[in-house]
Amino acid sequence: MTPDDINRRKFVRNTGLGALAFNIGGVSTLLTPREAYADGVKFTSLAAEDAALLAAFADHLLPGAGAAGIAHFVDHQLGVDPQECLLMCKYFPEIKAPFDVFYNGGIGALRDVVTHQYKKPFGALAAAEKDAITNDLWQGSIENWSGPPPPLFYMMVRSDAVDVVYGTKDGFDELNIPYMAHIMPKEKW
Amino acid sequence: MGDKVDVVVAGSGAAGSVFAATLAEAGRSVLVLEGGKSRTLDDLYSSQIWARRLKWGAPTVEETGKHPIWYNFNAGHGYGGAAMHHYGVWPRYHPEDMRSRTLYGRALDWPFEYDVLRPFYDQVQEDVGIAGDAEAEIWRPPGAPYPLPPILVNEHGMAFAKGFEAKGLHTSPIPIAVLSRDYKGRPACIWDGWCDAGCPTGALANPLAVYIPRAVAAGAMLQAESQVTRVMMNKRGDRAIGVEYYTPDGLRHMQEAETVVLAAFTVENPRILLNSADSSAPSGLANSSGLVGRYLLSHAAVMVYGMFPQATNSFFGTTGGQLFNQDAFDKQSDAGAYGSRQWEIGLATKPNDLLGIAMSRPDIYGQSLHKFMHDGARHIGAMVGVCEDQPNIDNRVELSTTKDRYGMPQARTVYQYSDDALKLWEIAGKEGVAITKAAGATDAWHGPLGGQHIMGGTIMGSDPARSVVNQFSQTHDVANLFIGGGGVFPTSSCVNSTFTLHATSLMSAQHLRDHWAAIAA
Ligand SMILES: Cc1cc2nc3c(=O)[nH]c(=O)nc-3n(C[C@H](O)[C@H](O)[C@H](O)COP(=O)(O)OP(=O)(O)OC[C@H]3O[C@@H](n4cnc5c(N)ncnc54)[C@H](O)[C@@H]3O)c2cc1C
Repeated sequence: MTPDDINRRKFVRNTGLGALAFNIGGVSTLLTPREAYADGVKFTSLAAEDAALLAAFADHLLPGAGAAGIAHFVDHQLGVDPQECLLMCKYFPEIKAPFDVFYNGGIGALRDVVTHQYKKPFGALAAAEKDAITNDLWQGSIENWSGPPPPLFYMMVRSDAVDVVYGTKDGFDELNIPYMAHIMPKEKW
Repeated sequence: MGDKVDVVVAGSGAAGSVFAATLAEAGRSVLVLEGGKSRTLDDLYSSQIWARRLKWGAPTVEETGKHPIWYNFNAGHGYGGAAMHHYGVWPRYHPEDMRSRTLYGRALDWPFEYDVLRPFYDQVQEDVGIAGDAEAEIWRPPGAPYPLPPILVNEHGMAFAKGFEAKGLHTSPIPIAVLSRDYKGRPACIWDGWCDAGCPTGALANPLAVYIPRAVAAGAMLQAESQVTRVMMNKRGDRAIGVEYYTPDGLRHMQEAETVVLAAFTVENPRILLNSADSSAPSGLANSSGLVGRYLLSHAAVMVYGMFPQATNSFFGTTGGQLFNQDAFDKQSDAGAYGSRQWEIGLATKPNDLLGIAMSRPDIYGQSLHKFMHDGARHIGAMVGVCEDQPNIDNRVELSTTKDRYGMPQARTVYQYSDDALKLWEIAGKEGVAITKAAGATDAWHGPLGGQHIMGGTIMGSDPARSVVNQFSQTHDVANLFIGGGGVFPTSSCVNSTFTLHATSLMSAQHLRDHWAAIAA
């Protein structure tokens, strides 16, 4: 018997996909981050230009993360009680709640570095330029950086990107591995 | 103020649930105050993202010193505590772990020998149902055979087993508190690998599957979102009379009790004791030795990964592993480093989160990361080496100057691994990579230094001047105040702590049950 052969449907108590409760026009609506991105749902925790930069950077770390709704995912999670927050950053001793301080600090520092060095937005950089910045972040050798520890910022955004692209049932399908849920996430994320 | 109870327990995790069940079944009125939220098994969504809800969410513990102990990752919050989402790897301590000072002139002795704890291991094992193979586990100390046959070993475990064999090392089925068959009304595991998100089927022995239901059936009451801040003492300062706790509305409450059990995990227990300082105990409650918070302990862990040409299907199985090795358990087996080591082999690995495929190679990004994820999804293999650390009086929990929303000082930890532990970690990393290569992996690597299991801080001993609690986890200074959990361990061994803390908690709870009149009167 291989894992894939097992009929797991009987163990799945709810087959709804993970979705976030977004506030649209005062009404709480359940959407996946991908849907929220496609619908252009307004950001509530991040400034719009910061969300755009986060998405562009994440898209470089894991192409497709932008369309998978990383910015909406992070934006949503920054708005919840830190105890209920689902971002991986909450494990890290160096990152303290409220977590928007970490994200805003990192995004702001990234913008400053890109502006200072290249005089254009991150999204408009050539792939090699984006790589140079990314490698410097990961190695902690980035100059004129005024945000949280650069490798930490790189790792957290990368982790958020992996969450929205591969951490869901769709992501498992993409990897061609069975999700095998006991209980599917049924609301929010 | 609530009605006075016989026993108030702070914390509903592994230790607290054993105390609650044992004492409620003995007819005692028990109230468990849990700082985190109420949870049921139905809240345990199969998702590495949702799993993060179960992690520590209370005020931040400030981690200082050379090495973090990764408190937020290692601690849990809400019914079941960290044990709610732990992986159930349950080996026993070895006799020499408890006699380190006598045998080797190193570390500290426990106030009893292994044989004293053995019947409690056997009882807990019978209660929860551990799967394993006592004969094949050649290093295993004496004890009743496992009640359940070993868990599944698939191509993942088998791949690594070849590497161990090639290096002349032995493997056995892992001793694990996961049901390989239906047991006492709980269903067998279906190997979905979601242990980290909490097991909702009850196949893994988390508190909500075993001891909490027993406690509740015997009349114990659980109360969530009730953060214990102090132990209240009588005027003479020699008896606990209850606890102070706060609820999220900011209200302060007092719960009277005949006996108090602190089972709020390793860092929080000393925090509560230190915060309970008063005129008769100015440096903190139960702290006449000055050792509350001292001898904090952790394990130095190394994750080892391999990319195998054949499918490992590591999304499947149990997160704690399939196979086990303690060939390097002998404290002096590694040249130049004192202490024991073990391997947990074939860890079920999902795509995301700290121990997932992506984080195994944080340096990879872009299209290469997509390729790595696709390769890893069916071909990655993972195992973890766990190394003993040595007790050091300077490793500690203390109170910070920062306060939480209830005005309670936050905890600050100061930690640094011993040179021995760092050396063992280095040896383990190299050995793990060599084993993985010998197993046929096309690529093998290991991760950075990680911390697993937190112990110490309220250590046990026979001498009140050198320890906080006695062999029954009863504080030397206050007879009706008990500590539950790995905080009472004077040494860390290299083995996962939860089986042993169940055993010490059971021993302690039975002692309280059997000597109720003398202790509670
Ligand atoms: C990912 C992971 C995997 C693990 N895998 C294993 C394994 O395979 N094998 C093993 O042996 N161990 C494992 N562990 C460790 C195991 O979870 C712990 O050893 C065990 O849970 C500790 O038991 P405890 O009762 O001391 O604490 P917990 O189980 O954490 O319970 C403590 C409870 O106290 C509550 N609390 C805290 N402060 C207060 C307060 N002030 N007032 C009231 N309540 C409070 C907490 O919210 C929590 O619910 C793992 C841990 C993690 C995080």
